[in-house]
Amino acid sequence: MSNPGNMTDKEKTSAPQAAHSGARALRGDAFYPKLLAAAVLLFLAAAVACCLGSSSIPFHKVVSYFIGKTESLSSSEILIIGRIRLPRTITSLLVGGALASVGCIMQGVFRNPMADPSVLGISSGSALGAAIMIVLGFNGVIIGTGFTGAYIGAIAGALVTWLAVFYIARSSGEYDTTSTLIAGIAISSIMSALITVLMTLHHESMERIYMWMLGTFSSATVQKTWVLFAVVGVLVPVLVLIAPRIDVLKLGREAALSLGVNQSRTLGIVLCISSVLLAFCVANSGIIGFVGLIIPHIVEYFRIHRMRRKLIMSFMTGAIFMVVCDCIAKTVVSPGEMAIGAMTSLIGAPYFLILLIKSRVTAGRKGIR
Amino acid sequence: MKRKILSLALVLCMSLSCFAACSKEGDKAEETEAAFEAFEYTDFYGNKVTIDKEPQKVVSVSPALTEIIFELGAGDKLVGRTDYCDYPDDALKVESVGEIVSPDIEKIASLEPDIVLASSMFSEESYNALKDLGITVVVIRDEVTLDGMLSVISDTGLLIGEKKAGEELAAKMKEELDKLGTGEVADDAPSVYYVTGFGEYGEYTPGEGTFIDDIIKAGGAKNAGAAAVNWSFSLEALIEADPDYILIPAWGYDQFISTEPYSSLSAVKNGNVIIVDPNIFERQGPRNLEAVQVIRDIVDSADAQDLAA
Repeated sequence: MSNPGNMTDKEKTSAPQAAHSGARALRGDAFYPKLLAAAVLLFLAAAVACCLGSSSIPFHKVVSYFIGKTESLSSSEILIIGRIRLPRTITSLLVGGALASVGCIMQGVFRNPMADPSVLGISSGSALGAAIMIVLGFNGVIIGTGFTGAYIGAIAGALVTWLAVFYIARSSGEYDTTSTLIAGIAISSIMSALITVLMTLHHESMERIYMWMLGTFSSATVQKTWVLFAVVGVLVPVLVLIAPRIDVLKLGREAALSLGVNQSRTLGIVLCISSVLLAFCVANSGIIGFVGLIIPHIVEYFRIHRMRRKLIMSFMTGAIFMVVCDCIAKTVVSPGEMAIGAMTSLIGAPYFLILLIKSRVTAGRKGIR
Repeated sequence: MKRKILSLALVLCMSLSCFAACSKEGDKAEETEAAFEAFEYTDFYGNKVTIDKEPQKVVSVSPALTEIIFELGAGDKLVGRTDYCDYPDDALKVESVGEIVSPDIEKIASLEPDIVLASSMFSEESYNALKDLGITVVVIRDEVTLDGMLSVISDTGLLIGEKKAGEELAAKMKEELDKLGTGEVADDAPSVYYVTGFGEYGEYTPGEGTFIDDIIKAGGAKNAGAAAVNWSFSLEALIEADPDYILIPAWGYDQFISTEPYSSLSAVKNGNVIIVDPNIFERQGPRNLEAVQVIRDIVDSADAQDLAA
């Protein structure tokens, strides 16, 4: 169902877009310099992340590890840098990037600024899958795979949830944004309720299910990181490829169709790819809220408007943000750790609110509302 | 102050009159009632609770207290326990009132207990709800040392009207603890890391100042996770500490010894990962002796290896 009303709503609620919509057509969005800046920042953040941790390995040793001179390092230092810090940094980078990209494309395709990865119920479905495996006692590594029961359960749970949303949302023969959103929200609450039921019936596993959902990047292993890298490395570029279709969809369903873009099919593809991405994100790091919702809104402030560029920028910003959050999460109460999900909201939300207030003030001064 | 004295006097008068009333009744009642002295107990919330007759029906909202009550030989007084109370086997025959934090208040009320005993996990809402119903409820503070645990045992004995048994058990346990170790940790003592969570669940271990930390020290070993903050630890710190022995609950054993980077730890390579029953470490009570024994055995076998080497 095409709903032009939604679009104007978004224009209204999204202050910076309203404030700068006039200027954007005339000026370029200086995308490449911004992308370069983001890439440099991401590299720096990742480098810092590799140097930070509860064990104090001097900076020069970290450098010598990366340039291949490992003779001066003890075996535990090699283990800490190569098997703990590096996989952890790359995992947080990929998860942050993927969550932000999924959030960005969902807000585009649903034309709803409140859309985020959690509305489809994929995250809760994933957590339910993990909880079932924990309760069934598949605690060890599943033989032959090298992955834990909770990890496999999370991926299976996400895919089953996606199939359910897919089936219900398509029941009229075509995808439609409103019924997909509503189906997603309904399924999400069913999944959360089932987790609660499981936790109540299995007290002995309650703590572990809860701790699993809180999420941590500390369980990143080399193998899991490679798998995640492959998934994100293939699927995010696919999202980038189909992103221009979302711009066309803004014109309305009929107009888009006449330009060769089928709303239903585009929605179907986006949902499928997003679900797989989310499945692997949640399996790697538990449920991390906020990033998928807010990062695309922060990207709005960079005055980039085409979906493809916005998506790339969301990936970069999400990645930087997550790496920074994880650095704080692992150092602030060292040698303990903060839950990463709490960190993202605690750091990101105030920053976003400041941006929001600032832009409102400038818009007010210019007489634009 | 005046008010306090007044209320104390009042309590005294009331209990005296109770004695007087009782003594008029049968001889048997006189005996049991006379043996019981009314007393006041200050609980976890700082509230003074007056116990003026021997409790006959007890509800325990803590698995640790349930174990203590059975060990004191007062299992027949227990009319309610929690879902978690799984030791000893006889505890399972007692009706459950739900979980530890906010149990089923209606269920507890229907059991008409003389006293409800809870640990500091018990929520204040439940505490107030029970008090409003006029039920005597006492929250016993969780202790962080073995000495504290002994006082939990004697306090529990006192509160359920088994004062003597409580004191005796505490004294007996004190003796056995002293036999197991002096509580002094040698410089070359092996280090032990106690796993409460790891991997996907985050690294959790009891740090300095926790009850389990005290058990490890009492057994004569070093706690490799002493630096943990509120039980939270990090993988890096664990790799760096590279403990000699690792204690882990059964659910985590396979995953721990087969996943990188845990599998690179010396304890895993040397086969020094030991499955333990977390209940003997985490619940405060008689079975803590077994926990100290586990640590003692580790220290002794490490010494034997040193001698052989």
